Amino acid sequence: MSEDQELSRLEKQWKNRFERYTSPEPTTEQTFRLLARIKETEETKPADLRAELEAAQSAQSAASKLAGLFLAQWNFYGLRSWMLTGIVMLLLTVMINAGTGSEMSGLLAWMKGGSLVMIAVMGYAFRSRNKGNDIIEVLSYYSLTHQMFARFIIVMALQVAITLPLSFLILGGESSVSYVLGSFMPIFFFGTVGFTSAMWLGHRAGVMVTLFVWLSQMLLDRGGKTLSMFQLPWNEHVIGMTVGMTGLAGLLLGSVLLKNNLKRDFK
Amino acid sequence: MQDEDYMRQLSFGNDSALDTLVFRYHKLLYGYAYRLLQDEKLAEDIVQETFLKIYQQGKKGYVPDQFKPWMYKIATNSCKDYWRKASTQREHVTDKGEERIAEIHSIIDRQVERKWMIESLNQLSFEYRSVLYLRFYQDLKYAEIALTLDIPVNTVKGRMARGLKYLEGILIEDDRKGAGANE
Repeated sequence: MSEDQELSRLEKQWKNRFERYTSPEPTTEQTFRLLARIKETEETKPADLRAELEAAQSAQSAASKLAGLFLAQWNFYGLRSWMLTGIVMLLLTVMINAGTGSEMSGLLAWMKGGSLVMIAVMGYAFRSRNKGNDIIEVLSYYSLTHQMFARFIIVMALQVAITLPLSFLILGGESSVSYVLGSFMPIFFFGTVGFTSAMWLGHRAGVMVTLFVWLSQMLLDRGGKTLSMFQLPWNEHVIGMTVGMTGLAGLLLGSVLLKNNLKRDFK
Repeated sequence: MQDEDYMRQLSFGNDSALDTLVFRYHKLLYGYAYRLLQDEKLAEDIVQETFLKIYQQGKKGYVPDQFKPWMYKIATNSCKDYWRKASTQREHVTDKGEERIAEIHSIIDRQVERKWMIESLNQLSFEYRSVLYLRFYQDLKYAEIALTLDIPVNTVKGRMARGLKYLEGILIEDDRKGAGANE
């Protein structure tokens, strides 16, 4: 039996039972009174609350607008959600490093695993959530691009806060700014791909595209090492690859900016 | 005329279009809000808030693609706002123990069975209840429920099937307790 047939059977089976849960019904007089109240409320409303909110927010300084944007995104998912995200990132990063043998293979596995964790976290952070009208009202002052970018920055900041101290442990005596930067670049790059593809193609397709890019990099890593984004800091191609990734990330972020401007112009 | 046409009329400044929409959906929307909140006064407030938002949006010129899912989405979100503000959201009603068992033991008339149905439904989380209410009481199609709750159609079907299975479990469990009480 197909799922739809099964559902239809279940519905028929339960229909009578559900009918027993009756609810009081408003009378015609109550409907008339409701209509009068709605029209009265609308007429006596002191001012457009939305316009008032927009005017108040427009009067804010750029810094407080920015702070408001980040705060709204943080509050939207809640402290617990973000903290859990951070803890999962930390645990996975530690597990990846602990599960490998030598320092060299450990660093490589950490870069690959870290970027995969990044993709998963981006997917999680960009999920849509329906939490009532109030928060939507607050958030709607900011454009979707701004909101998504704020989430992207929060995820990147979390990742930096977690991986920076760990990278010194993993790299040990070899640690230097260029080493840390080189090992962090793939994570930043995949974060950017995740953000950009989510902005262009939507949340789900964005995650799929980023996973596809990540998997193709894993294959390249096995075949032609020179084309792989996962370069160890002491490899000869690391500088070229880092510059390439930075440039590509810049172009991708620029495309989002362009999309946003085009949309605004079109409007 | 379709609901969306009335919204269009409203956007053109024809206020009487609201009257039709209110008369068409007052009872249905009230039933939905009442079942979710189980409070007549609160349900009235939610219904008024929902129609007020519809009125305001209509006057601003907004015409939804599908009126019904949009209307239920506003009402659902208003209920969520209420729960959040009042911090009274309870996903699961605690076991009411002997009193409830004794009541279910005597399921003979419709009133008692209605009470059982309410209590059983209240044991389900909001995710399941909302889908079941929108399907059974508001007669929305699966695609419309998906639009209302911002979830995929397959999730709606999954919640529907699982929700009914949970209810069945509650019924079997209560029957078992009732039979035990007879011995």
